[in-house]
Amino acid sequence: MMKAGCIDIKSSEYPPLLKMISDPPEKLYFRGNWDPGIFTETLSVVGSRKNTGYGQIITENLVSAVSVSGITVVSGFMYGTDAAAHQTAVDSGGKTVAVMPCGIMRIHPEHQESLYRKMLLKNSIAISEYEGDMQPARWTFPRRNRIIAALSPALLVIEAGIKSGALITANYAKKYERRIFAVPGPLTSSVSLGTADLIKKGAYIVTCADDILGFYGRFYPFTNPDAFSEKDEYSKSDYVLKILSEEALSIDEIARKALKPVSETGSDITKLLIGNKVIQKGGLYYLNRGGKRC
Amino acid sequence: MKSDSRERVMLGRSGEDIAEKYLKGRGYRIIRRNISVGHSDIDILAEKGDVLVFVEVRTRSSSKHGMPEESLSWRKLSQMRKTAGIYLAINRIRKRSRIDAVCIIVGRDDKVTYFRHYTGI
Amino acid sequence: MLIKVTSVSFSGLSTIKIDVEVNIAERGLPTFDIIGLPNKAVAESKERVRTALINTGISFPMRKITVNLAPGDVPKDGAFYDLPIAAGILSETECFEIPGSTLFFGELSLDGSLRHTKGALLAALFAKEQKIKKIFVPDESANEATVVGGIEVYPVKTLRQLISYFKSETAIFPAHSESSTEKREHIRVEFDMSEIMGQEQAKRALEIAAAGGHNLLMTGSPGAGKTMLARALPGILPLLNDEESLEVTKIYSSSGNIPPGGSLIRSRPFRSPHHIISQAGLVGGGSHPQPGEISLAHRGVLFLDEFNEFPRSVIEALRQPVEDGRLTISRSLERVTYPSRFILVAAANPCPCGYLNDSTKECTCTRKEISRYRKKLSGPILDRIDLHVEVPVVDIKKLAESLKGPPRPESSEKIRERITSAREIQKKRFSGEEIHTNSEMKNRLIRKYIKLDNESRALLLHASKSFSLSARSYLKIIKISRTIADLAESEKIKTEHIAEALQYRPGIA
Repeated sequence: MMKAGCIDIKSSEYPPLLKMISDPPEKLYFRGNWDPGIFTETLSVVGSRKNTGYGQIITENLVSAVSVSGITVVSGFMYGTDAAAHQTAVDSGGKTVAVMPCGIMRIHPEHQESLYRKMLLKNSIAISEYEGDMQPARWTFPRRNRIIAALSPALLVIEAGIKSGALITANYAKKYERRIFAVPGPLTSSVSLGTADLIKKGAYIVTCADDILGFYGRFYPFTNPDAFSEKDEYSKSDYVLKILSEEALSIDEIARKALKPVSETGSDITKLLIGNKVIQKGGLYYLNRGGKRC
Repeated sequence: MKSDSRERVMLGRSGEDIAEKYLKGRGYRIIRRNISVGHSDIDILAEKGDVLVFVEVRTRSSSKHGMPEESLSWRKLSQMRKTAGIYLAINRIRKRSRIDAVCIIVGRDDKVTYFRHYTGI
Repeated sequence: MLIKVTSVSFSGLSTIKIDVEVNIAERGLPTFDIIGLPNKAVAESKERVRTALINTGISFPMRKITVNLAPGDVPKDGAFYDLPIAAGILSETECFEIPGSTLFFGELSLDGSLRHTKGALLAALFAKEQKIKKIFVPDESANEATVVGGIEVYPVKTLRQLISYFKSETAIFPAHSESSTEKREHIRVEFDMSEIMGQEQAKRALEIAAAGGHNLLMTGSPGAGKTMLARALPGILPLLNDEESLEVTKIYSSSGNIPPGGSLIRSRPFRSPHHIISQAGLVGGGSHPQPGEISLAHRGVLFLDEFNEFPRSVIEALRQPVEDGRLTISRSLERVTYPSRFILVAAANPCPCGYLNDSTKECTCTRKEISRYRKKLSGPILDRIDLHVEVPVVDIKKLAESLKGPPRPESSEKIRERITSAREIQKKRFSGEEIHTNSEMKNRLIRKYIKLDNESRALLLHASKSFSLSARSYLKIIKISRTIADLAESEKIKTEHIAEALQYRPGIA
């Protein structure tokens, strides 16, 4: 059921952007339903294996907006940001390409097999320059990163530590003259130092999905999906949104700021959570800006 | 050490003498004293009516180290039973018999401070 | 000459009457035997009694003494037969009579004095049940025995004292118990909720746990204050009533956990065994069954810190008693049941290194390690835990800032009042059932007692979809909502109650 095949560099179906670099793979192996159209408009997304709750939310926000707009999301299928990007793309009904660091018949990391199957089922593909079930090695990861950088006209770096794989990819992107987008983050977090460095060196700072979509000549057409809409339910809990618009906080802190008992705040925030007005990640609540002005 | 053991033998003898006198007074006929059977001894062999009585005499000079009865362990009792059985077999005696114990404390000046006779132990 | 003395035998918390028959024969070589299925502790009684008598200055009779503990088919354990055996022998040698309707209980020391003996309360209860008027126990165990009331408890210090009492030379005065109301006022809260700064949600979770008898799982980094929070839980539980106090004291008495001179236990137990505990130590067991930590936590709190460090087998063994509220231990000769109705508070780090989601320190675990850790943490016992709450590290500076002119946190006593009235509501609700709290409701009772209006049902359905709640979690949320509504003294479960309950759903973070 999982189709597999190989595209030669001489084939007209070979991704054109990849062909332009100095050392493109001679043969590109793939799994899934091959459709050269998947490479027409792509955004490469990289980040940290140890993504933070903040990184997770930003990934979900930006990737969902990009996916919904019909842009293919390219990433490296590692756990952390990569997995979040693929997952969000699939969940948003968009297409995604996983560039594997190992032989095409292998799934690495193995515990993400269900995500892998889901992707292939939804017309997304996995590609690799290696055939068979070759094990990934230390050197295959940076080699793979050059493909990620080359495949898209732009690279989005969500989070990156100093000396991380994401920065290697960013270096390739710079070499290939791709647009680099970096997400600002708190300087107290080690996985925001790499992105801060990129911004210092001239990367485009991303504060909302439109920053990226504008590069592709689009804008985000949707407002926040709002399933549970009983207006009066929210007006009562507006104070939570107001407090969260300043910074992400734990429930204890929200209650303290609002001078309300935690029982009441807890009740209010659950309703906001069900209504998708706020997001909970890693013990903190964030305002859900749904890709808009994030 | 040597004098100690001699004293002990003396004490044993005098205890047996006291026991013999007591038994005689109670109508026992003394058959023999200090019969050795194999490795063990029978202190007094006596007879009353048609019953043969093997008597073990335990003598102490004081109760400081416990009562004389306390040295009659379960092991000693079973050994006595065995010895009596061997004696009866060797001499082909077919009579009713029993084992008795006499416990005596002989204080200073050969004064008997404690005396007990247990029959059929 | 045959003397009969009454004593008692325990099998778990149940008691049966034992006749200690002391026969001192005129004939036969002097021996001293105890028969009637004695175990080692009882058999050694021989040496204790003999030596104690000699050290009291009484010559031990050089007679054939046989002690029979009847009935002969019940195994006897414990050192407390010393006193009845000694009393029997003394009544013969010292020529006094043991009056009828008396019970003797206590372990002897070699010097002839009596030692604090475990189980005195059970012995006294048994005496009352059997309408025995007087009970003789060691002085140090007398307070414990007076708890029962309605019987005369004679505290005995030494054998010498006992002899002169029976020879009418001196008097022993029956011990008096302090009245229970007097004792109640002495209860002090060990950890007051008002001393815990911040942690509003965790404290609220404790309040709900206490009100509905729900089990609780706290996850948070080391140093977040999980232990302190757990220790504050007994202080907000309703005070033990007389019946509950007695239940708890019985368990402590039978296992020797009451200190010399100790009396009725009035405060809720708090037990926190370390994770190296054996299965028998936690749930009870042993060749001669002993209550485990879960029974010592009866009517109180069992706190399992570093929950995931406990061996799987030990945690599995916890499941049945948590469900049933009691534990039965079966042995070839006996079958023992101990009650074990407690609130389980489990605490765990959020990840192997402990600092996931911590604002002060970075987590060093990989995703794989975290998911393996989570898998280990889950399991059937988690099904029995209704409330899940995260305990973040409190940033003192931030806290101080936000609490300018702070309303001081509520005291345990204040919270306890709310909980007590919520418990009253539950008691009324379940008056026709065998349960007392919301947490004990099974499916049938949930259907019977909990009616949700359309609005609440819609919210719950919506929530279960967006949080992908399992059927079991769904029922837990309903139970917690009921408790929250009881705390608010609301007859109806409102949407806000359900919304708050959802804060304590499993598997966030």
